[in-house]
Amino acid sequence: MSIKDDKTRGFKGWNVDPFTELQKAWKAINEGALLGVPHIVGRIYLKNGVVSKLDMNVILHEKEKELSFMEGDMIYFVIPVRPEDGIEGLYMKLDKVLRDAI
Amino acid sequence: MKRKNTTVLINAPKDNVKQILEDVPSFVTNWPYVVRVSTKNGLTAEIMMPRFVFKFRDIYRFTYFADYNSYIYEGTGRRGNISLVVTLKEQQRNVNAVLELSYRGKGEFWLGKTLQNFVEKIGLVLKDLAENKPIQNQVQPSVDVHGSTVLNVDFSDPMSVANFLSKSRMVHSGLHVIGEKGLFDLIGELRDMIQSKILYVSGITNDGASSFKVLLDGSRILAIEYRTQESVKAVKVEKDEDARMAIEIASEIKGTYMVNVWIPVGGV
Repeated sequence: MSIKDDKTRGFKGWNVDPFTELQKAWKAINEGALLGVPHIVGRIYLKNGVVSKLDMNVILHEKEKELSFMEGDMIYFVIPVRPEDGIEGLYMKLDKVLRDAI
Repeated sequence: MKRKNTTVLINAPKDNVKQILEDVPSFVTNWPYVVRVSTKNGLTAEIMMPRFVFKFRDIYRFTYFADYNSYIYEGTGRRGNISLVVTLKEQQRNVNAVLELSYRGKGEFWLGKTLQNFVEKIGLVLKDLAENKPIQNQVQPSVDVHGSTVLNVDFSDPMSVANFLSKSRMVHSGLHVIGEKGLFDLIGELRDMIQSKILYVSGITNDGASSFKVLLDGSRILAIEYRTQESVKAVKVEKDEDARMAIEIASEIKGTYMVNVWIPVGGV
């Protein structure tokens, strides 16, 4: 799954720091996990294959639901997350969604 | 009943392969298509096999049998049964593993291709795990990971972290209390559990207010980042001076952290 994979030709990297963004959402994820399954929901703005903006919120749901699609330069996603994944685990999920969607 | 099989040649001693196969929960966790694993009442794993636009999802309860050279993992689900038989043949310096996966249940007539994929990927996982797990008293494999681009992690550059993570896997996750100057105790604890020279340890408090990331090679810190609400301190160790600073940062870290450990896989 290296960056040079064929599948990821359209994706070149991040212009925002995904780790910082995920860390901002961490508190809500952690508290949410006590009540239901936290999901991160949001939009990724792509510009020439580079992520230029990441909008993200945390919502709770009873069951795990995953969804992502691309429209124009934007990828919409809903990803179920678990606090055990840690920030890096969340990032890997986000990364996978991004690569799958492109 | 559908059966699919594959053979992999593993460049590792048989004991290594056995160790992986005997640690059933971690072996099953590393299979593809496994969504979730629980060890609460015996071992159960949720497996989702995709085919066309469908996904065959079921929770299997696993039982494990082993004899001299074969290992059997039998999963009973609500809608089907899946079983994997691994037979090892020892050759001079490597091991030949024959894997046979059989499935009886919902969608079995469609799942031929998926099952073939499944068993081939399990084979690769087994190969990867066995070849990367050095036995404690064995000489470290001579693969030169130093100076490789993957280890060139600088926490102020997220892409370098992403690059490292894309070639790593998570091996541990848990809550840890770090006392005064306790990061080194934690690292010692982790070293006893995890046999990898390179460790990427990341921790975050419950409220997300404070976090740290550290990349270690043996007892040497290669890079460290410590983030609190007030400040972000990051060092990539290149000179002696940096090393001192890294240790200083490390000794500031304390509190209760959700800790995750990642190690590199494959021929870095």
